[in-house]
Amino acid sequence: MRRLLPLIALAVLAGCSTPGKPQPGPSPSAAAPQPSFADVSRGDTDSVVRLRAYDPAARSAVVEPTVFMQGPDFCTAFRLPEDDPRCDQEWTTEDSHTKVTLPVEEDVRLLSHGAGDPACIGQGTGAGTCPVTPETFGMMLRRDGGDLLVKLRTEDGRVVEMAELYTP
Amino acid sequence: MSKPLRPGDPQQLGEYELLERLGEGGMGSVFLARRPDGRLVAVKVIRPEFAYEDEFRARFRSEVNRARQVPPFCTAEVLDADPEHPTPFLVVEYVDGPSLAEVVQEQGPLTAGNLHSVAIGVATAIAAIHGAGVIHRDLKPRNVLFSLGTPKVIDFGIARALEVTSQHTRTDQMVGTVAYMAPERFDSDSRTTGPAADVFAWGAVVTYAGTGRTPFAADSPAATAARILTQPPELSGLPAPLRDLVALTLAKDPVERPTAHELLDMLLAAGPQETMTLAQRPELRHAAEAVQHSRRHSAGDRQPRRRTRTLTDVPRPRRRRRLATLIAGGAAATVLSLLGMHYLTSGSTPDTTAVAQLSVAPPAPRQVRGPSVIDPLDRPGQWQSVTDDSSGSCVFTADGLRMRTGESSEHQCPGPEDTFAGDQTIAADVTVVDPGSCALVWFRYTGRSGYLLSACPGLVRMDLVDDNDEVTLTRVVTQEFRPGARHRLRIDLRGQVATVTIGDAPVFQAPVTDKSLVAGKVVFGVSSDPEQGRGTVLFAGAEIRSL
Repeated sequence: MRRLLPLIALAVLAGCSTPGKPQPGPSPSAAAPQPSFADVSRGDTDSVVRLRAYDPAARSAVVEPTVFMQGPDFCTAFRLPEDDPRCDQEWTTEDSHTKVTLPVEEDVRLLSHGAGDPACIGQGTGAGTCPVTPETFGMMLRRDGGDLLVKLRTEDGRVVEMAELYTP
Repeated sequence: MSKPLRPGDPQQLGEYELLERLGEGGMGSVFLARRPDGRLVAVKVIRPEFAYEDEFRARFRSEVNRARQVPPFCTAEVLDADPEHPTPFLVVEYVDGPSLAEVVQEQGPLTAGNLHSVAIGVATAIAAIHGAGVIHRDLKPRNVLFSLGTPKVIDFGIARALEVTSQHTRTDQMVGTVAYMAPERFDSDSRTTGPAADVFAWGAVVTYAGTGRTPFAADSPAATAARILTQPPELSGLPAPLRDLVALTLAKDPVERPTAHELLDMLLAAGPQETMTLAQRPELRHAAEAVQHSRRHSAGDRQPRRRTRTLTDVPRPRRRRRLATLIAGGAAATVLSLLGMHYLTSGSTPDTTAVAQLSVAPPAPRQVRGPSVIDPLDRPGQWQSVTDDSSGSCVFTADGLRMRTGESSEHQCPGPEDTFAGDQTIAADVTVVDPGSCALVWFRYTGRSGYLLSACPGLVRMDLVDDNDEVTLTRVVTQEFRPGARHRLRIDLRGQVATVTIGDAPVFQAPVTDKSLVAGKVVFGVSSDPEQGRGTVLFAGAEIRSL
């Protein structure tokens, strides 16, 4: 799965390498809906983000809000034609390119999917459910090169839960 | 144009069935081949004489491994290699299309839309190549192929394997085509050539694509080399915004050239033609965006640049100094007179005339989403703490990031490495703690050059900085900025105008017209008056947004 992740990301992003019909972006024309990203720095939020950095000692996390959708839903949301290659993908993302530093609660819940262990994957969400220590979570992030898709929960702009997302 | 196999050509290499000859060069021959799964590929077979050199094999192995890390963004993907084969070979994606050289020879210079497509596509490719720590070293129109109309760069990295092998470094066997070679490549030790040489080659390739001739064209290779080393480029015929950018990339001094990522930023932040090109070619937009996004993994195109200026640094005379002076004397005066305001220029007596109203233009539409950074600065996140540096310190507190000068009168705190191009806003809560201190914000900062906003109690100014040379663009005496009080400091960059606001009060507008400073980092720092001891300021609530 670890190898699959970057491959899928490349398939989404690598337009120049894609022979065949060009892939339109989700917002190339004024008529297409613009993606909206969660404002995780305030209020209570539930969203998918790319975790860029996590410092357990400083209790801080740097996240990039992301639109994460299954392929058909993505095409519907952004009015892409049905033959767009992304419509057939299990999932695809649109990144905000906005990095936000957030405070992390002392008793933050950190959850892993246990390398794809079905017992550690939430039904219907794909989010990890097995608790891990901050050190382990930090190692998971480093293993993924500082780019880990997580389901993020914030309360009053503070991180209270991060669950590694299972992306088969 | 492919040709049949010659007698003596192998019909099989590893698992690849060779079908036709695609070409031949200094390193060996290129064949069209078929994989067992039926996919067509290009197989580059290295000349047998190189195969007997252990040094070459080791270098070939190393370079191929790195080339395989290059993401396929406007590049032909490296699929396989066998450095241990009796005749080492490399397998790359087969691009079934004409080269840029063939297109220009047959159809003449490219039209504006296609030219910008090539400019962005090739810049995307070299940014991806440099991001993997590889240098192309042989970028030329024959190495740019069109796949369904989209440019793809081929043959990256492999030239180095040939060039660094000592037996092949004679000048008559120099790898590359003279017309596209940067001045530093003519040095006796061209092995020190860095990624800036690829940026130079980009400028030459784009000039060829847009005009049908190279920028230093002459009657012979020797005369071309002489022009490259001594003469300015001939760029007439290139459309205006692109021409300025190409001129930057063809600077004689490699340090003066933008990096590949900066080049891409500048292209994407350029005028309506680029915007139209990206709108019409979404695959280019995606690739450029992906390469920009992967910049944080990139170290290959970084040139050695100082992070902190000190009083002991010796200023060097540079082109930008003259440009900056022109800006200060000309463009600034124009902008300011248009605004009808009383500003101060370098050497003037301070004036306390207040600024009534400043209008900030709406941001220009952009096709590629730029980076943004949000950080409360109350803990390590996107900025880092520095506690034991004699040149100064950066310490997180509940009130924000406290910056102190050290032995030098100026100190920068390490923060995000993102490059911001085009319209943007920069905002932070700033408190001057110690008397004689100023809060500093560099923007469009390249490590050597950039714009610098200094917010000092009673005086706010903006300078154009180039190494230790500073040219004041604007300075305004204002009572809005008081010591000990927290102020929201904001810079709105729109086109060629920067608007500075403190709290809700506009302070001034300044021209940001240096064509070589279209993109760069944002850096926070502190300065102090040496007679008043160390300087301390607090920064909090940082928001840097691409618009």
